[in-house]
Amino acid sequence: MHEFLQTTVNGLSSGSIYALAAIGLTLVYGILKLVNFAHGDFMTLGAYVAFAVNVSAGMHLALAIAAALAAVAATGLAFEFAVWRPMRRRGAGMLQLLLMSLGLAFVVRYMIQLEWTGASQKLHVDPFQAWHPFDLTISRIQVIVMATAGVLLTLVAVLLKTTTLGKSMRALSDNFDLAEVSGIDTGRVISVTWLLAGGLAGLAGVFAAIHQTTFDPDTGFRLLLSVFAAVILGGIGSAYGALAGGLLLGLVQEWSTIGGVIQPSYKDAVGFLILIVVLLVRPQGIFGRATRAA
Amino acid sequence: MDALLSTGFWFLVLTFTGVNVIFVMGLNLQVGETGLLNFGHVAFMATGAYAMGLMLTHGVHVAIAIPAALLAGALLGIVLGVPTLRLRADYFAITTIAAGEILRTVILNEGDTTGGPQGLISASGPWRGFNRDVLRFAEDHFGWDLDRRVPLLVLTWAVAVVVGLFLLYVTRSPWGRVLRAVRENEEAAAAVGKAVFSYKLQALALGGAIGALAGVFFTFASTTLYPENFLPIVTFTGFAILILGGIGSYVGVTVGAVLISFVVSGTRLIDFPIDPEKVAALRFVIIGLVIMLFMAFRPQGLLGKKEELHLGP
Repeated sequence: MHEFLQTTVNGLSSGSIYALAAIGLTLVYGILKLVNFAHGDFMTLGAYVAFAVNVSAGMHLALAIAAALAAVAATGLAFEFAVWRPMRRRGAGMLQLLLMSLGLAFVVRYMIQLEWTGASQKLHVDPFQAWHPFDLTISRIQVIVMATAGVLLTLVAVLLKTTTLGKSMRALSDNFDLAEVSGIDTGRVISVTWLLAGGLAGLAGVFAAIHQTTFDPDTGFRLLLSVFAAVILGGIGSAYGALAGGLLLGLVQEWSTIGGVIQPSYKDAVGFLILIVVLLVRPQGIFGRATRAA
Repeated sequence: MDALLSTGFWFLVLTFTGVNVIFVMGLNLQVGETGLLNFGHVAFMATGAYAMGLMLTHGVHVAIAIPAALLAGALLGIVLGVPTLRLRADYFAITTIAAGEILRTVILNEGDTTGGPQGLISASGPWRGFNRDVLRFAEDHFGWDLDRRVPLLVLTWAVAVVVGLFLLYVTRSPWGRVLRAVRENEEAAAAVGKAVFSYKLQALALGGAIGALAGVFFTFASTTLYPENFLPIVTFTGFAILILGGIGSYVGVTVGAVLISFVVSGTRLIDFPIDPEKVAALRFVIIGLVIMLFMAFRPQGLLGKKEELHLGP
């Protein structure tokens, strides 16, 4: 029981990072039909912006987190205007956009390496401070990650549920043409989606950097496959699904180590295996509705 | 840098270029001819490399080990393809990356068998001795004093040419026409009675065997195998080669491989006025930009045909 509770705490903290990243990835897919391979590198960018503020400039971590959110949100929007909008105007196909995002992923990742080298870095967080309620070990890092992510995920859920903007986003994700015909300013909603996707990816990147204690230019890309798994688990295109899928993936990865049957070094592989199994058994995702193939 | 050393370096670069040509030709059969977006092609190379390496280090004869390694690549294609080929293109892409990463995680963690992060040492088995004999033979009979890297260079490119000719031949056969029909319009191909799924599986398996062949030559060239030789970036560099050369064109693949290999390895010989680590990063920024610019302005690449390009809905 104790092991179960401990792995649950660990799973919720890594799962909330997946959830933060997955929401943006799934909305961009749902609205623009873009499988964005650069999303992981947006996360890495967030970690390095936080590094610049927190370590290079020596400012408080909270400020670093805010800077990462703002910088990556702006980057997401900038690429929308520089790359994605012109490509959509040219009528680019889905695979063309997918391969473009792969090129963009290279550019972002290695620009980061150009600026900050490939060495692994650390933010100013004490990784050893921990509390022990009910014999469990909850580190300060896990508290920071879970508390902030919890608040933000709730805010995003409320935004999507209650505001006109959030409803428009979900409407676009559901049926782009129908949403456009009903008078939604799609250009504006797309811009906001990129701000949201970028900002959340930047945050997820900072939290991943804190959570893993060290990070390098490959950190985001290494996480991307797990984030894809979270997206698919929740049903691609569904924001709530991504949220739930992220938490569930984090939990299952941690639970898989209970009893020592599976070595912790196989945790990521367990996530990928879940991804494959879900795609084969229930391609619409655990929380998705089955729709007829287009 | 002394001239002799630099010639040897170029031989090595060209050998790895040849390995890349073989690797991407397998990818082209899947992506270019059949329209299967295989993002986990590196898994086939890893399978070929480790299958042969493990057999050679356990005393299996090289004449058995090479065909067995190719068979392992083809089998992986079937095992991977049977469940996943029914998926949509983007899901298939993600699933194949995941499969490649699972394989790499297993190689990394089963160190007792694979050497894990310390590497699989002497994976190239009897190659060194054979290479020495070839060099001695050339010296004794022809009076040639060859660099020790030349035999593998010649052999790799000879195999690349044979693979290229073989693929040109099979893709111009009725079999190849069905693959292109599947790429262009799956429903139409099925409607005229072609077993679409089986053709896709065959393309994945044959491409996989060719990927494994690239792994065999990779092993000869690098002697020791490490899990980090088989990161997803290897596949993505393969895609950069394919996009630059032209998806669907075998000559294009060769041109693309030479150009990208020059960017990745050849530029090591040029003295840049900046720190070497920055040069390394800059190379991949260039590769990324090449992918983006070609996708935006010339998706058919240098030598591909626009009407043959199928980039989805």
